[in-house]
Amino acid sequence: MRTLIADDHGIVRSGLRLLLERQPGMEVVAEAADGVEAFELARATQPDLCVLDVGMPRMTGLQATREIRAHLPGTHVLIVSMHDDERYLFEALKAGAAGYVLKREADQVLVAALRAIARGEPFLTNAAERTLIRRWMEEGARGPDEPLTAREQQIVKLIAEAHTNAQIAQTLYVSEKTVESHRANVLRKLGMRDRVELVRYAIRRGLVEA
Amino acid sequence: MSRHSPLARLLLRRHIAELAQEREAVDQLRTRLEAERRAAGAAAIRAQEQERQRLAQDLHDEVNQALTAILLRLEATIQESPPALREELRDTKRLAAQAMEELLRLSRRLRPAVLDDHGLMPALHTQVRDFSEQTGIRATFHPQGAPTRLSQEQQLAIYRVTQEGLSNIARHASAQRVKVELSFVGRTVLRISDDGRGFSEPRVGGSGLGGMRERAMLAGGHLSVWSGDGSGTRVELTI
Repeated sequence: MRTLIADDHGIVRSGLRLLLERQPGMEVVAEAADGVEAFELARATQPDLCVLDVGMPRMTGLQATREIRAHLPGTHVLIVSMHDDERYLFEALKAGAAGYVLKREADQVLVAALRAIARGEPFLTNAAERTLIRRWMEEGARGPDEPLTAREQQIVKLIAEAHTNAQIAQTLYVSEKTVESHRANVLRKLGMRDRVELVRYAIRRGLVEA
Repeated sequence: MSRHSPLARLLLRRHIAELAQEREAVDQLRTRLEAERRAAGAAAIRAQEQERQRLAQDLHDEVNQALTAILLRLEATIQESPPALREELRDTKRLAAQAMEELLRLSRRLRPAVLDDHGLMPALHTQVRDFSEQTGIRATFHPQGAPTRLSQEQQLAIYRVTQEGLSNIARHASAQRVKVELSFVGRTVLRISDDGRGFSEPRVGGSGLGGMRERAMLAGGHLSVWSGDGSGTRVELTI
């Protein structure tokens, strides 16, 4: 099983690599340090499996999951997260991840998780399952509350990380004019005036870490 | 000039009026100084909170990532090792996992992320639940009434007073049951009661009570404490 690993911490990547290469039948074919690199390398190497950290710069693990699932439907994605936060769990599954694993338990469940999702099965720990069910029952009452499109959320994250319009245009393969127009739309939709408010919004929505 | 001449009376009235004006000026100055002192205090506490958040962030990111890497490497090593070594390596792994749990718990206490992300009620639920789990003391949370709009500062004050109150109980009270109530009927009232040994000399300054009173005041509220030797303690924050 050819696997791509993505995490912005080099020491975690090397730990993952060490563990995965020890497993018969598994091979690490690519390493990425952020979401954009993860997506680009996935397209280039067409792995069977991707292990993606949630909190990465330029593009989060969740955003990268969406892109990878959209372009490489044969690739299964496992999300790894530092945070025992049900918001991320729910979003991960909605984004198309087949499994969700916490870093503190990764040493114990990672390999089993990867083998499960390689078979096309989902992987959740018991605690995650319970959280999911509980959240699902609560959410039934509320409606969707995200006013921004996926693309607009990407723009917000990059703006919050203080990239220039030129850099954002390069990262997303669009023109600067497009970036400017997205930026204006975002500020209008959210009723915000400036980058400072956007940063706060980005933190609240988990697009960047505080 | 006689004391009772019209001129004397006029001068006396003027003198009294001047004194009254000066008195008013002094009162105004005092009010302004008080407001400035309160603002400076609030700014100091805000700066302290931000520092705490930065600390929590650093703890989280760097140390826990390193512990993750250690756990992964140990697992890889265990799988490579002769059976004789495996048990020891597993013990080492358990230590690392415990350290990680402890750090995650610590940084949750420093930075109330759940307060920012999910609001005051879930944050208090989590706090009370964590307290029960860690100390083994039965603690329950009782919200009453529909939550009124509280400012960020007021929410943080309630959260911190609960945190310090529970921390004091864990350290000093030898309690078996703790009740945390938050009522929105009329004024907002937070009440933390325990059935522990109580204290007869209210501890001020330094730890616990002094900080709580300061927070209460800065949030525009008021802290009361009742305690008797051997008859438990009740801390009430009214906003």
